[in-house]
Amino acid sequence: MKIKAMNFYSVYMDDIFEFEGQWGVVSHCGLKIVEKAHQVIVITTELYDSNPGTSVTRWATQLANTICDLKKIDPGKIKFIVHIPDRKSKLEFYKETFDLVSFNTENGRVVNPVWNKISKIEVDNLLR
Amino acid sequence: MIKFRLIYPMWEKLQGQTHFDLPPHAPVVFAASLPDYVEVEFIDENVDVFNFEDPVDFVGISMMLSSQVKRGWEIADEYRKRGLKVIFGGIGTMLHAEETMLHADSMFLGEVEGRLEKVFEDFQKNQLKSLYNFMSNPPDTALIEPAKRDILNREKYYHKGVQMVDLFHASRGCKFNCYPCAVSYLGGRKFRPRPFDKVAEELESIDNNRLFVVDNTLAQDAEWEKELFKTMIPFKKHWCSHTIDDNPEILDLAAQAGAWYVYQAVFDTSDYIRERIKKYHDHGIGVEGTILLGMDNQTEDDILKLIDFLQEIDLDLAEFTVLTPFPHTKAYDDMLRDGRIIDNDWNNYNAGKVVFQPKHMTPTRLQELYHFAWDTFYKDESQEQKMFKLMMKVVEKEIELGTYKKPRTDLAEKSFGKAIER
Repeated sequence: MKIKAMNFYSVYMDDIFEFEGQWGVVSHCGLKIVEKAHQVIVITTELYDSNPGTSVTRWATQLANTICDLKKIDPGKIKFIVHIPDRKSKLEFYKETFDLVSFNTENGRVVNPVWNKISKIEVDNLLR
Repeated sequence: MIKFRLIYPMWEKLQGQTHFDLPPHAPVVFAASLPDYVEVEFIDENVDVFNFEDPVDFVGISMMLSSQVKRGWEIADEYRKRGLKVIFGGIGTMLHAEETMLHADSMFLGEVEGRLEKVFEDFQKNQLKSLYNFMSNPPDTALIEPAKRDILNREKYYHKGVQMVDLFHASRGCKFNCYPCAVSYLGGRKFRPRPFDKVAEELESIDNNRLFVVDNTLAQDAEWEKELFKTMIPFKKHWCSHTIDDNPEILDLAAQAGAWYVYQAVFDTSDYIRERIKKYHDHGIGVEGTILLGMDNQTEDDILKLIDFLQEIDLDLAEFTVLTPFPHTKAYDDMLRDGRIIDNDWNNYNAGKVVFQPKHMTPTRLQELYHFAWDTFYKDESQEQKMFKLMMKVVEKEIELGTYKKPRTDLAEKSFGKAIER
């Protein structure tokens, strides 16, 4: 699994994160966490065929909550980014994209995801 | 004995297309795994009628398509009002599981072989679980027994006396993970072939010379494909299937094994497509082009060029669909993130209605192009006429092989169980 996931290694991914996806299926994504003064930037990377389970898009809310719990992140401070890496395909729907996912916070949990495309430059600026 | 009614909900057929009903596959595969003490009564609502008042002990609803789920939920709600327990299964259930849960006493996710004894034991003890989840734990394919086709009301699957194909599978799972497809979620990304002796046993059991091999694609492993076709040759069946490899040795074996016609995705106007179709034809194998419209890389002009191209490449049949973001696909994820899903009515997720905002045109324009594609391809010769020509090719081959069965005269005036209006 790790060898295949290497294909997607980038500056937006420090580890492979294993999580329980939909219906308890073991799932994997890339993970990078960068703590800033007033926010915590969390980048989850879709691993395509190296992810045996649920996609980071479908599981965005649950994944954000799981990461907040495990990494002791205040859900109010999370800046959650979904990274879809370039699959080196001729097809444009496999090109790299980034989405900043905005949530509401209810009872200490993130809910109601809304995805907004952001550019690579914007992501890089956030990480600086 | 437990009297178990298994229902396959009806769905609205696509407008303007030739209507035919094939005997469903998942219910007969499911029925093969039922314990002996379960008496199954199968209702395919597309051809059968049933009464909610009929005495039954337990109700199962098998769903394949997104456009079946709302009707499935409606049936379940009615039975549950009457105090009967309802269990859901099938790939439609797996795609829409969270919503289905609201209408179910129990849901079965995954593949059934070796698992149903426990479900029915639980039912008998009144301890039915709300969820039986085997999504990440598929059974050994050696456990897949020949499908139990005797649950079908066979005479309902005839049109003017001609028997429809029976559905058959030689493998599960798919190593590919294509953009609009949910198979990798449903059956896993590992190609899982059935043992060849089991394939042969099933072929032997099917009282039909014409099959639809419903494997996701046969082009997953060339050596396996060759062995599969060698296994199939002695049974003298004719069959259609999804894609097969186009190397000469495989095509030769496929033709010997009875390849009648194959589906070929036509996604661009390249020589690759043109040559591939020619290779199939050179081996006497027909081709039904499958053309998906509305991908993000298609402009209106691209679609019009593709429609023109189809006139040049000698397809036997063509089937047009519009991109549909089915749950658990990358297409769905992308459109969800981009806020491009404009219709959440699952009845419209039938691949003939535009339910998303296309990248290069309006939804209305894509819908128009979809209808234009059908009309243009079949303008000189209707779909029924082209199907008849393809049918005659197989009849000729069957006569040569001595396997031809004449249409049933007693069903000549019926189409899928209903009298033909002339």
